Amino acid sequence: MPKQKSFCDYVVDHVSQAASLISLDPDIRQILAQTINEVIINFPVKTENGEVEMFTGYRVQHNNVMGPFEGGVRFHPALGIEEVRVLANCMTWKAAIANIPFGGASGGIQFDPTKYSLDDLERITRRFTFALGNNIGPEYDIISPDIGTNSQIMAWVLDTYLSTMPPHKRQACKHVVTGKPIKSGGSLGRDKATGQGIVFLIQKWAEEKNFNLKGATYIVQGFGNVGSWTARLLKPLGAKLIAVEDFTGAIFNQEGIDPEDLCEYVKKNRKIAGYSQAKAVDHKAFLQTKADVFVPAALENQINSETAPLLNVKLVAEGANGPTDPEGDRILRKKGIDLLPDILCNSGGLIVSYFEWLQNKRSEFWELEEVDSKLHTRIINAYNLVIDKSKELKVDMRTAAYAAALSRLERVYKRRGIFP
Amino acid sequence: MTDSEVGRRGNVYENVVWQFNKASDLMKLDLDIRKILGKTTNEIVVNFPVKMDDERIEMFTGYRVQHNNALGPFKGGLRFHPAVDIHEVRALATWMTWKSALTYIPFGGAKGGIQCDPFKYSQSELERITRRFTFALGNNIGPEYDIPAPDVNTNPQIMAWILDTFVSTMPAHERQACIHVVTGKPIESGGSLGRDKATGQGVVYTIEEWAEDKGFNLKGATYTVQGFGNVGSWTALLLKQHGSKLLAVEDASGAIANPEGIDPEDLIAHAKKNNWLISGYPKAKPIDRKTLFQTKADIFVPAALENQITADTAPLLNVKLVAEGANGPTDPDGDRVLQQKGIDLIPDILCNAGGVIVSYFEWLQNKRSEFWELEEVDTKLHRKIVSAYERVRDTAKQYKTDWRTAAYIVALSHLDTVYRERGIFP
Repeated sequence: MPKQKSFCDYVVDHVSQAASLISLDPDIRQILAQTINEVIINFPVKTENGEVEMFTGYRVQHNNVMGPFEGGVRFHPALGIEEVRVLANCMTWKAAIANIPFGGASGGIQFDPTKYSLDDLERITRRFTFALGNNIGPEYDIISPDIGTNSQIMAWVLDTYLSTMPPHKRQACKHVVTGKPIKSGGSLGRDKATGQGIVFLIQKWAEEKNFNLKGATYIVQGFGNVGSWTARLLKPLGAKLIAVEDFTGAIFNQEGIDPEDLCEYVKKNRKIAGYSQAKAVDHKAFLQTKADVFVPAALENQINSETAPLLNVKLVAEGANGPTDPEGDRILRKKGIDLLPDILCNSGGLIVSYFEWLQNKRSEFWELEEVDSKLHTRIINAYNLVIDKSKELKVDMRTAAYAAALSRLERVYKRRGIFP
Repeated sequence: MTDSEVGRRGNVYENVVWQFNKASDLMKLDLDIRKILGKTTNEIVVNFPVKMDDERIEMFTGYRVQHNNALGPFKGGLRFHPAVDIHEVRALATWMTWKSALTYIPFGGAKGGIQCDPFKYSQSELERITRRFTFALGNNIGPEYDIPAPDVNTNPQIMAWILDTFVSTMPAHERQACIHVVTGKPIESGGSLGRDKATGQGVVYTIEEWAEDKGFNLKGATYTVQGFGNVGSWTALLLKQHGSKLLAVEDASGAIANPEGIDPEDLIAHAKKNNWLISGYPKAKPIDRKTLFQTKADIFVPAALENQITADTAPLLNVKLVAEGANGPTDPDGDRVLQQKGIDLIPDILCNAGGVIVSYFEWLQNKRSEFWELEEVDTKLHRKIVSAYERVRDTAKQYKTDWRTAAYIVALSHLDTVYRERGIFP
C-alpha cells in the first residue's frame, strides 16, 4: 500500500510548485530544500518515584538567513523528526512573508505531558533545555510555546537557560524564549496574538469584499488558544458564532453561541461536549453548516476531498497549520470559496513573539495598544504582499504566499553569497 | 553499494547493543545507568552547501553523534565515506565511550563524518567541504567539549583545516588556547610524535602482552593482516621488528600471500605508488578471500571494516589469536565460533585503543603547551594500554567470561562508579 501523503509531503509540494513558478535559482532551491541543523538529544530524568527515565528531544533549524532561528517546542507522544522538520520549514516561510528578521526552527519532546506531575514536567523541561545548551540562544535560536507547552514551561526554559550563563550576561538573555508569563518578560497581547492576527485578516478580507461582518456568521473547529481567541475577538465585531467542534464533538445554535460563556464552560470541563446552550450535532452536520466564515483551528488535513464538498461558506481562514490538503484546495477554488492560507493567516503568534523579543532586547515594556497596532500593520502588509503576488502570478493565495516567501529569501541569498 | 552491504552496515549498532546487553546482564549493571548508556546523548545532523570548482552548489550531509561525556569531553574520529549514516556513526560513537572508559582516559565517546566519496573531489573542494562542515558544527565541537580526530579517509591535512576553521571563529585572544580542538594534526601544526603509528603500536603492545602471558615466542611467529591502511600497515611494520613473518594481506583491491613471508616495508613502498592499494605486488601471489581466512598462521589482525568475522568466515580461521585493529570486525556469531574453536581474542576496544590514547597525549601537550619526545609518548602509551590489558585479562578470569565481555565490564564498571558518585542533574 502506498504511504498516505501527510502534511509534511504537502508542504514540500507547495514549496516545489511555488519555486518552479517563480523559477527560483536552482542553487538556492537546493539549500532551502534542506534543514540546516537537526539536533536529537536523549536525556535522563529522575522522576518522582526515584526511577530514571530516558526522553528523546528534537530541535530542527531550517534556515537563518533572515535572522536567528525561531520556533515552537511541542510536547507530544507522536512527535517525530519529520513533523518537526516541516514545522521548522513553515516557520521560515511565515517569517519571510511577515518580513520578520527570524529564521525557522521547531522542536519538542516525544512524550505525553498529561501523564506526568508538575514537578516531573519541570525537571523534564529543565533537562531538555540544559541538553540543548548553546544550540539555543537569544540571538541564535529562540523558543516559543506550541502544542502541549505553555507560558509556565517557557518560564522554566528561561530560568534554566539563564542559570547556565555567567551572572553578568543573564539579564541580557531574556529573549532566548518568547511566550513567557507577563511578569517574567512576556508581552501583553501574546496570548491572543494568533487569534488576533486571524481576526485582523478576516476584517481586511471583509473590507476588500465590501462584506459586513456585523451580523455575519462563523464556525470554528478546535477551541484551544487559537480557536477560542478567534471566536472571542470576532464577537465584538457583531459576528455570530453558530457552530463549534473539538475532539469531543460538535455543537450548533443558529441563534448564536456566546464565545465568552463557552470559554468559561471549557475552562471548567476541558471540552465543549455537554455545553447546554447549543445542541450536539455530528461532524458532517458541522461541516455543512451554512455560514460566512470557517476557521479551522485544530488538526491537519481536515479539509479534503471528502469534507470540502460539504462546506457552505464564503471564506476559510486557516488558524491551524496544514488544515487543507491539495484536493481540498482544488475543491475550495472550484466552489469559489476564498482562502487565507495558514502561513499567512496564523502568523500573528510569530509576529508578537518578535515583539516580545524586541521588548526584552531593548528593556522595554509595550502597552497592549502598541502591540495590537503594530501587529495590525505587520499582518496587513503581509496580506498585501500575498495578494499582490497572487495577482502578479495569477495564482491562488497559498501558492502566492509560498512564492512571496521564496522570492524574499532568494534576494537575501543572492546578495550574501555562500560562505566561505 | 549492494543491498547486503547496506544490511551489514545497518547491523553494526545492533552488534554494539548485543555486546552491551551481554556484559550488563553478567555484571548486573544498575538499571538506571543501563538506560542512560543505552542511548546517545546528542545526535547532530547538519546539511550545508558548498560551492564546487565549477561554481555549482552541492549540498552535503554531516553527522556528529555524542554518546556520553560522563568521563570528560566527547572524543572521536570523523569519517568521509559514502556509506556514513546515523547507525554507523552511533555505533562508532558508543565504542569510543567504552574505549576511553576501559583505558581510564578522561574522554567521552563521539564520532562523526560526512556522507561523501572524498576521492570524487579536488583538493580545494575537499578543503571547502571540510571547512564548511567544521563551521556548521560550530560550538558543538570544542577543545574542552568535543574533540574530532582522523578516521576512514580523513588525515592530518584535513585535521589542520578543521583546526584553522575552528580557531578562526574564535575571538583572537582565545585562538592559541584552542589548538586541542582536534587531534591527529600534522606535527608542525600541533600534532604529537607517535600519533601516526599509535593504533598499530597499541595493537603490537597488546600482542606482546598476550605472547608473554602464553609463553609464546613472537620471533618466527606468523601473522596475516586484513586492511593495509594506517592500522594494518603500521601493525605489520612493527611486528616485523619482533622477527614475526607476514604471510598474507587483504585490502579493498584483493588478497595476496607468500609462505616465505612478505616484507611490510617493501609492500608499503609498493602501495604508496599504487593509490594505497596492494594489488599487483610482484613478490606475492594473489589469493581469494576464502584462502586468506584459511591461511594457517599464529595471529590474524583484522584492520579494515566492520563485520568481517562472521558465521561464514569464522569457521575458516586457522590461527591462535585474533587482534582486532578495526572497530567491530567480529559480529556476535563470529564471537561464538571463535570461542568454540578456542581462538584467543584481543577485542577492538582494547586492541585499537592506541589511537585514542595518543590523541589524549596530543591533547595534553597542546593544553600544556608542551612537546614530548617519541620515547615519552611510547612509554606512556605502553603503560596505559598494558594496564588496560591486565584489567581485561583479570576481569575475564573473575567473571569466567570471554575477553570482549570482560572489556565491556571494565568499561561499564568505571562509568557506573562515576554516575553513582555524580548523580543525575538537576
